[in-house]
Amino acid sequence: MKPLSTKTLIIAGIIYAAVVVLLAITVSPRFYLALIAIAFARPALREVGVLADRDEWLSLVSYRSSHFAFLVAMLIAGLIFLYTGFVEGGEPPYEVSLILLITLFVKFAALQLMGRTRERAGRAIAWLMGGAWLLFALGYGFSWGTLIGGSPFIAILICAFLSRRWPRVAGIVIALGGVATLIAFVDFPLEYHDDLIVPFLLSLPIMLSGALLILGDREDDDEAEPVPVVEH
Amino acid sequence: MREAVFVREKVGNRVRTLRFLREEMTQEELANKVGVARQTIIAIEKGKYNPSVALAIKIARVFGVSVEEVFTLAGDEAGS
Repeated sequence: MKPLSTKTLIIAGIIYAAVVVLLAITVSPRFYLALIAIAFARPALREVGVLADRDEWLSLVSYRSSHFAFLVAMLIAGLIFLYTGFVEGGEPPYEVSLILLITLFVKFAALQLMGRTRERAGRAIAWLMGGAWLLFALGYGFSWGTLIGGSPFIAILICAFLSRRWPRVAGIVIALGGVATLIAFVDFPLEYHDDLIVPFLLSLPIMLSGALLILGDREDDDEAEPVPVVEH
Repeated sequence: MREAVFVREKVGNRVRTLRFLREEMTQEELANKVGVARQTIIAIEKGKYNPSVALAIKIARVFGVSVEEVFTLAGDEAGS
């Protein structure tokens, strides 16, 4: 995306500030949403290339510092999770579990998407989702019942394996599976205390995996395209 | 430890020397000419950061020399 001009950014900033002041004056709860949007607007605009106010060194410093902040946040969330779950012997706070798991999945998915082709990223996500949820299902004990309960995830693992040969077919099956879980297990509209783990850590990742396999490319395959030879 | 965070391989440079040989060009002036912040030039001169290929070429062009005359791998001599 082309970076916006300074004039456009100033005008957008003035309009945004006016909206925030208006919301603050009316003491609307949406004021808090506006504050969150302020905090994340600039980094988000930089990530999509609309805001280009940092050179390569400052961008690198920003990325590295964000990475450290991520590690610290994950460490704190992990410690709370372990302490409440194992030391106190109770249920870890739902919000902590959600933050921990969603953030870790986003980290994994972003790594795959940035570092690999779409097809390989889709396959990696399918392996992760199928394997993790199968282990979760079998965590209740190994029996015919839990095996049947885990069968959809076994199907995902089989599709992940077959995607090496038939990526689009496997992608369609996986994507449809993701849609099916969304329809079967999620009540809309979503509310804060509903189970958000199913849509955000099952349905959406599986649909993402399927979509990536369907769209897939193999640009890092040396044999995909011949090397152009220029004769002098 | 701080170097290890941003620099994977030791790259030497003569940016500071070449600046002074070019009518004592300041870090700010060089930064403006190549389109980066002054902190970036400072980080490069101190060896804390290896610039991208594009930035290295831009810096070399400002000084009117080849990239190898500005940047060298550890153990090599500049310009040789």
